[in-house]
Amino acid sequence: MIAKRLTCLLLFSLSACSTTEEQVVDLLEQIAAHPIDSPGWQQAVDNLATIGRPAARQLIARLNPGLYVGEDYREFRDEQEQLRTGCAQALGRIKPRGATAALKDRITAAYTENERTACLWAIGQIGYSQVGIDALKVQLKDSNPVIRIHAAIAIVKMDDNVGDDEIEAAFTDARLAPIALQGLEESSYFGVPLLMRLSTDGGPQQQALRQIIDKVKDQLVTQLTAEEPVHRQRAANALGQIGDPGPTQALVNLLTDPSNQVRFSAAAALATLDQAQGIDFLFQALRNTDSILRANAVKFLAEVQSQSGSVESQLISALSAEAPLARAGAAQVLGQARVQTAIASLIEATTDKTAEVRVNAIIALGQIGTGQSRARLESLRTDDDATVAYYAEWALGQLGPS
Amino acid sequence: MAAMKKTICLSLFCLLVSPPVGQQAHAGETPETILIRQALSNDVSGYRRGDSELTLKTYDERFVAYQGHANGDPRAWTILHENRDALAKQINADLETHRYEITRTIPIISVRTTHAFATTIDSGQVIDRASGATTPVQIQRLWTFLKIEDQWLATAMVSDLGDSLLPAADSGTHDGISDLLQRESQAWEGGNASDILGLFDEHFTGYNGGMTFKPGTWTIAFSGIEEMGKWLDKRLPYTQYDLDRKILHSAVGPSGNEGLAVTHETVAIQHTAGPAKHQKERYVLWTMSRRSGSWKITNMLYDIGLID
Repeated sequence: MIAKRLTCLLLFSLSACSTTEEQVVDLLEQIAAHPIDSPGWQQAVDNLATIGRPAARQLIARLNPGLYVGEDYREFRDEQEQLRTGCAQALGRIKPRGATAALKDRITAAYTENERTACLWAIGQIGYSQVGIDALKVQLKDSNPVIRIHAAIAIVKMDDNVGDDEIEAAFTDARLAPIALQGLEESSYFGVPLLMRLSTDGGPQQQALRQIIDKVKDQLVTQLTAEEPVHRQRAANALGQIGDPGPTQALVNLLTDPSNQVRFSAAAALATLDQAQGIDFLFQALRNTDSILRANAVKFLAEVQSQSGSVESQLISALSAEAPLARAGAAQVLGQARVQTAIASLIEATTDKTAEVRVNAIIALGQIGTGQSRARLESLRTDDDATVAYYAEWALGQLGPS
Repeated sequence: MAAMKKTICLSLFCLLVSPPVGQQAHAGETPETILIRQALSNDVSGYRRGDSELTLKTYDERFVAYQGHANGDPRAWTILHENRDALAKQINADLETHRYEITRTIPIISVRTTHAFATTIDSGQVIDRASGATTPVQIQRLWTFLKIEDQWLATAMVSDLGDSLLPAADSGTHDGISDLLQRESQAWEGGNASDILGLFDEHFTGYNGGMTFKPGTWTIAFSGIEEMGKWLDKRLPYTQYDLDRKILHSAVGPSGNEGLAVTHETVAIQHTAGPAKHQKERYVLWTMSRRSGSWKITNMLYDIGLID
């Protein structure tokens, strides 16, 4: 807190007597005047990050070795390293999307490990871009394992799992494991699927992984109130994956969120946690006349069922619900989640008086693909309803030859 | 009809933009590199045609030629011609006695604002007009250029530049050069920009050698003292320089108006805004002139890669 106040005081005093550009120049000189990671160097990076986007153009320029000629000449390579590393770190916190192109050019073997790791980190922090992820994937083949683990972490932050093996392998190396742990902590919701897998498969660093999960969970709860709906939605999803009932009330609060996707994600997370509010929300949506809400309900219920199996009995019961939309929706979910225990109920649903229910039950049987339904599907090939007959034929095709 | 007109227009356009027969188009070409290439072509065309006037169009009044002695190490270099007139005498004498059947390739052209450098490789044969005896030619040259009123003129050339570092003979120390370089070193430690800039020619070129002796990796860091002055205004308030310089080689021309030197030095800076110190050892190639009365630095190549 005191440090923050001092920072504000410093920035205020700087802003009182100079332009933003001059402030940035002074801070860059401070970076050049302090060894990497020293308090003075870090302070300057913090202050640049506090200035934010107005500083981005000057910071991006300092990444380019071609800048260090003429009036910006710097004759010492280690001085350039201090600047490039500091600028990359500040950019990773400011997150200007346009910086990725300049950063990805500095992650190659032509640069120092400090420069490369700072640029890799910044690319991950800025988030997904095709040019960024393509460059990161190349670094997964680097001979230096430190570069590979930083590249893999940056890839996780772009919601891609192509580097997961590299991260998993890092947990057996005392030098790389802390980098992997810190990276997963910073990856927020994107790192949760891998964190959960690693924490349940009995590998090394279990205690450390559990501690990271607790920290990420706290971050995610905070993100449930983020301004951007996409953060609230992804945080809710990830909390469902973590499976801790602690944030239940925070998730319940999101059931009235203005964003559809946020509401459904919160409901799905609650349903995964076996919380009635979430399950009720999704089943209510399943019988809603709004087709978009119904489609969302099917999608999220299928995810919940696949992930936790927590709504299986409710889905089977819903095949006998009063509302035809609920019966049809339940059949869809059971098919998409391939619930084997629902086969008998689905066969029964093929006798439903509503053709839409029959169609969805038949499709579900085709998706589950069990021979147990063959006889019934054969008989439906001549159903009065052409759509029912058509899908019976399709489902038999899914079962293969008898 | 409209299609035919379009085709004719496109054909005319292609004819206009395509290079003349015998000239190659080059990747990464810019208007400046085209002009420099043209200047270098004029030089060699003049030799081929025995036209000294055409050849001399390439050269600036202050042109200086250095002899590389087939060595990449400038500790072996000496001064060949100190001005354009001396060069002109040599060209006229050469053309009177010899015919030149040579072609020129230009592997490198590097441009920064109004300053540039290039390398050329001339190959072919030189024929003695009297005896008809032929001598094969394969010679690499390094050129520096200055843009003056939209025209690129050669300001210096190292003839017979070597591809490798060969031994160099010991050279004496020239007081004027030694004094200039020691004053330059002291000016850095004094931290006064005008003291430093006062030792440089207005149109000097500063290069970064990238720790190699081959021009392919060099870059121009400063185009004239105005640009260097802007750098010093930014740099000196934040840094204190410390220089320990040793002159390894120096040479002056026949009239004593042009010189070159190689130094080995330890350069260090202390930042005023923090505790970081940066230090390195480097070789520096210098050329200097006293055509204006006192010695001024005309070229400075930091971090040229030389083996002790």
